[in-house]
Amino acid sequence: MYRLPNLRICVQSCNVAETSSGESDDRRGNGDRRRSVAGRVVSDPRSVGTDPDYRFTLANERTFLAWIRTALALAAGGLGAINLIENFYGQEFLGMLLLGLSFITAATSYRRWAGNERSIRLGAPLPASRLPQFLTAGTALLGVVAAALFVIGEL
Amino acid sequence: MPRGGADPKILDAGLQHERTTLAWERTGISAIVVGVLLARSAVEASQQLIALTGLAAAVVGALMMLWSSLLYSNRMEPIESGFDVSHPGGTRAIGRFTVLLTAICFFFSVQNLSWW
Repeated sequence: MYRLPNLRICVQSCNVAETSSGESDDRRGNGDRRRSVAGRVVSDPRSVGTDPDYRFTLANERTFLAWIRTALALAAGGLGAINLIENFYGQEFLGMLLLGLSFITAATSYRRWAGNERSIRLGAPLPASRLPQFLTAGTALLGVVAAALFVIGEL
Repeated sequence: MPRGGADPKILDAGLQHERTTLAWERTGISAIVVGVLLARSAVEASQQLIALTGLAAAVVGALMMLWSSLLYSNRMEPIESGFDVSHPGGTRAIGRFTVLLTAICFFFSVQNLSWW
């Protein structure tokens, strides 16, 4: 049965800096420094700062899950546009755009979660991102494109 | 231990824990929907391997829902005692699963475009 690791609050001195490697070995477990696809180091966010109020951690986790659901909904929309809708002018173009947006959203989700978690643990401002604006503008644009393609197909 | 303005006698007064578990369950349902859609599309295109991948994604979605109920009970103690409740391993696994699933959906659709 799955058990959460027994995590203790970090010592006061590690409030704004990463803990030393010896001190944090048992805290990191197998989630120590890992390399992302882009080659940048992605650390376990638990290796820095102090354990935050659980409400902040859970709010961050729900936000991550909302991003994942957004990616899955875009994927479902893309698959549906290509395979389920019949005789819709430009359906493949529309579907591929939705699937591309879905992949970008999924690919950035974990990094966003880890960055937010790290900031929460350090008591620092949350990292700014243009992805929500990009996603909103992209989805709105796709809606307009879909409507335009529908009208063009009916002419 | 509830902090901030919450009544210390009430555990998780804001129902954060329950809302998070429900968010996990909704995510599992979304994964099942995408998996079934992918499987159906792949069967129509006679691509059995992709269809199996879609079914596997649906199974992962169902497992995610079961796991969320385990997570719900296992997190009670850390919440009560004020320990960290984050779970980078689970978060990373779901992140990677979604990246893989959306990539498969993308490449499957590219492969079956009528443009070729």
